[in-house]
Amino acid sequence: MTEMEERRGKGFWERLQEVDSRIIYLLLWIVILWPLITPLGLPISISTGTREYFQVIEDLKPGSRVILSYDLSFAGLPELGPMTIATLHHLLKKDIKVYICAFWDSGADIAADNIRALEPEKNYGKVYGKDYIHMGYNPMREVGMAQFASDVYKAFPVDYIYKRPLETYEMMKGVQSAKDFDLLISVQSGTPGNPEWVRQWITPYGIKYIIGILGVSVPEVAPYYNAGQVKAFLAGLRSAAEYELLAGRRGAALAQQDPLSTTHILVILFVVIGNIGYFFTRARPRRS
Amino acid sequence: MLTDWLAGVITTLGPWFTAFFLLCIFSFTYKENPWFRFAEATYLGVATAYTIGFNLDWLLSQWKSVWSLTSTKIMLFSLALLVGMLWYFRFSKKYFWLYRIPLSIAVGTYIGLSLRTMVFAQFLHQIRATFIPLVAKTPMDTLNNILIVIMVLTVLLYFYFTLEHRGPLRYTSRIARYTMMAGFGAAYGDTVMTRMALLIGQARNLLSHPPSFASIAIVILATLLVSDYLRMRREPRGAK
Repeated sequence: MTEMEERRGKGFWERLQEVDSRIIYLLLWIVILWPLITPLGLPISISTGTREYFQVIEDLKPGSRVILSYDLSFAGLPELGPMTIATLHHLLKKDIKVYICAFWDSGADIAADNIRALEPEKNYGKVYGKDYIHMGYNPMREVGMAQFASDVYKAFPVDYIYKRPLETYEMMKGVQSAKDFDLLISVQSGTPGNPEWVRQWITPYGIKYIIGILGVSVPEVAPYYNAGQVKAFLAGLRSAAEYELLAGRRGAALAQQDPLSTTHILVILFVVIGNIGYFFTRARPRRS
Repeated sequence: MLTDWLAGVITTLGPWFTAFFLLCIFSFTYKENPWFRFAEATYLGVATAYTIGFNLDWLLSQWKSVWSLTSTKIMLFSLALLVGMLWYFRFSKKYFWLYRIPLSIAVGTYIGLSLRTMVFAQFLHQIRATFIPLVAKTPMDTLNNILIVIMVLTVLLYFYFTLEHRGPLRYTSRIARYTMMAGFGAAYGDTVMTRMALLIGQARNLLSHPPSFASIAIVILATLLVSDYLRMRREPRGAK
């Protein structure tokens, strides 16, 4: 019996539970492309978590030293990219020192791209080496994080852009170890990520720490947030859109909110349809 | 200039390459096919080359900036490099044991470093966070705290296997099961959000280059349909 004939032999409710994945994919493409081409402008409310993240950066005193670590890969960019660029924009708007680094190889390139896109000299009046610096990439994962905490210059001997020794830059004066920083921000898509930062920076040095994560990582991060180790976190594209609104930079996340809502509606619809099919087939005796 | 010309070509072809490989990967949603396999192999090759190249570049920058400055450092760097090379004995049956040297160093260092704070970072702080007052400032917080306490205790009891889950334990294990199902449901919701966000991001990327997107999509779809049609003609209907 062919697959088609086998399907024909099943009842309506049984077939409802086994919708061809190609039909789901086709519908998915339709509900993604349609709002992208003609935006619907669905309203966006701002959640408490996003406000907390925004407030931590907002409360920084002038001259504070902030680390922005790019612990993400190109694959995570569609979800993490918008929040990363919004965070960098928010930091550059303020009178603080921004130290950019990466513990993922692609993170260093993504950071360089973001710097190029925002043009800190032109748009924010910031000077490289005085107000912000790209310290580059450290491949040693958790070991590198521990090294960075105890001695910044061993972890990052030269900067990423000009390959000059880090200590020659003005903003590195008075910076030696983790104790000299006021806030750590990590935008991350896996390992090394949150547990490693908590183990090497937050527990031993008590640095204030906020993160940006993929939506899928929320269950892993929630216990750290409840324990107060993570002060605030942005999760996924939805939080990124809320943060873009707060930070005053409309970007890719806001543009993608309509398709995000329509795809969720579609998924919910299929979950409901599948469950209806399941309950009806369970309620009556099966065909022989 | 040759470099300018190359830069121009890459800038022009960039969106076409992006659209082509994205659509090749997405063609898997129709079914497994050569377009997908080609894009998958290319992706793996490029990703591996990128990682190796990037890390070699880092190694070189370390050599220039730190390790080549004194003879002691040169010796230490050479030693580290030699130990690092031992990783490749993973591929030798005869000298496999040599691979265990860098492996033991890496595992030992990692465990030593993480154990230093793991008990506090991932155990004691988390337990302390569940010691919450049952009566909080607002009714919602109170309800939330009561639920957390009930759920934590019942889930802990669920994994207590010394006693059979009968009598009162039958009820607690049922609550625990519902708790875990709610947790898995929430995790599934988050997973869906991430997958959709990734798909939307790539769809947006495709839409920013409409001519390349449409023409490549037509070519890939046409070849898949034609190959399906030819296969169906070769195989009689109903044949396995």
